[in-house]
Order: sequence, then structure tokens, then C-alpha cells
Amino acid sequence: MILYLATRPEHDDTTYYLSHWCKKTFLTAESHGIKVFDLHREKANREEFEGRMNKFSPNFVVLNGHGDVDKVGGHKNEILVSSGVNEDVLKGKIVYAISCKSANILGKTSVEKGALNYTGYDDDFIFFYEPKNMTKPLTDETAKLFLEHSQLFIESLLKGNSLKASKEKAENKLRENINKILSTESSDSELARFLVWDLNHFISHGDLDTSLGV
Amino acid sequence: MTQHSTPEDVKQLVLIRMETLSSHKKISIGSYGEFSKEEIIQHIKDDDEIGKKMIQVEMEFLRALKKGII
Repeated sequence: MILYLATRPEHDDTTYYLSHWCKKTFLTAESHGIKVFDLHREKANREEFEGRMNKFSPNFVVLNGHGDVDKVGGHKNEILVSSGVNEDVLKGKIVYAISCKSANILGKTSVEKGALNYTGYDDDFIFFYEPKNMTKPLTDETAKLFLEHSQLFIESLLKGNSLKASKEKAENKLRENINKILSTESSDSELARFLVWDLNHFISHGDLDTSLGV
Repeated sequence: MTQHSTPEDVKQLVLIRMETLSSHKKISIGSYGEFSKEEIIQHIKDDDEIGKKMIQVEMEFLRALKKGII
């Protein structure tokens, strides 16, 4: 059975949005018979994360949270995984980190230590949102421009597509959104530069032919 | 922007771009946090780390336009 573990801290606007957009992927996982381990809010701590990783060895790991070049945090920024400390916990996994900069160093060292693939952002992940939608982030059309590709990437992998195909789908969605807003005459067209930034820094380390084999 | 543009020119361009954004939106810049349009404009004027990040974003966008990527 394929196992999917996601960390979903929620302690500020950024993590709240990432958490809700990621939660939507659980329905896709369940409809494909994939078991989900949801480390939500306080459960997104290092002890719980390492415990679940070691006990159940999930095939697919999605890390939502703040990060840096060599680490990714959980709830209230407790470090869950960091380079040179515990990245071997990702051995044999497909990993996606929606977290700033971590694909830079942690992505590389995770793959060196045996992760099948580590996809993420090698610089800051930037998105815009409308605070009036804080209580219903999935209806935020501005945030959707920036987070839709991420959800699509996860869902494509959950459907059994290869890393390469899933990444291409996500990149195409970002390009589609860039073209869409550049063709409008509203002030939203100014957001294009930030979508280009996210596209430029969305990178993968490791095997691109791998998949979850659903 | 021409090949003779100075960093000050780019900074002014970024300020103009940010001014046109809706005040009803906020920007999340990873671990730096979340900012209103007015706060971002102040960071650009202050030339601090966050302001410099905005200029970096603009430079990458201009390079993408020049290369015909978008």
C-alpha cells in the first residue's frame, strides 16, 4: 500500500494557506487507495515526524512550512529535518517541500543520503493572497494563481505519474497563470513577476523517472 | 529598462510596480513573513534585505522577458 505523509503546521498566514491547499490533495490520495498520515498543527513536530517516518516509512512525503537552505520547519518553526542531522529519514522517499530555499542544500544532501527525489524551491517561495479570505483560503483567487501548481504536482504524483511528468504539469500551470494575468489589464498583471520567480526556483534533485507506482 | 539602467532605475521601477498593486492583497515571502503593499514599499525604500529581494524578483522578470521566456 502506498503511504503519503504530510506535515501541515498552521501558526501564521503562510502556513495556514499552505496547509489548506495541501489538505485538498488528501481526497485524491484516498480515491486512489493511498493512506494519508496528516501531521497537522501541533503534530507537525520532530518527534512525531521521525516516529511516523521510522515506523511506517511512507513512500511520499510533503513538507509544508518555513525553511531555509538546509532545513524545513514544522509547527511554530520547530525544525523537522535538516541537512547533516537527520535527512537520512527521507531515504527511499519521494519528497516535496513547499518551503523556502530548502531545495538548495537539504534537497541535495537528502538525495545523496538516499531520497529518490527531492523537489522544492531553491530560494524564497513567494505568494500573494487576500486577507479577507483567511477563513476560506481555497476560494482565494489570488492565492490560487500561486498555489494551484503545487496542488497539481502532488495530485499528479498521487495518480501515479512520474516526477518528470508531474513537474512539467506544475510548470505548465504556472506558465498558464503567468500568461493569463499578463493578458489582463488589471493590476494583477504585476503579479506575473512573482510567478516567474516561483517558476524559476522550482527545482528537483534526484530521479525524475521515479513515481509512486500507483 | 535599457542596458544602461542603474540599480536606482530598477529600484524606482519596482516602486512604481508595487504602487499599482491592490491594497487588499498581502505578500508572503517565506520566512520573512507576510507584508502589506505599504510595508513592502517601505522595505524597498529602506534598501533592506526584503527590499533587495523585490529588486531581485524584478531583475529575473526582466531577464525572462529579454530571453522571450514569457
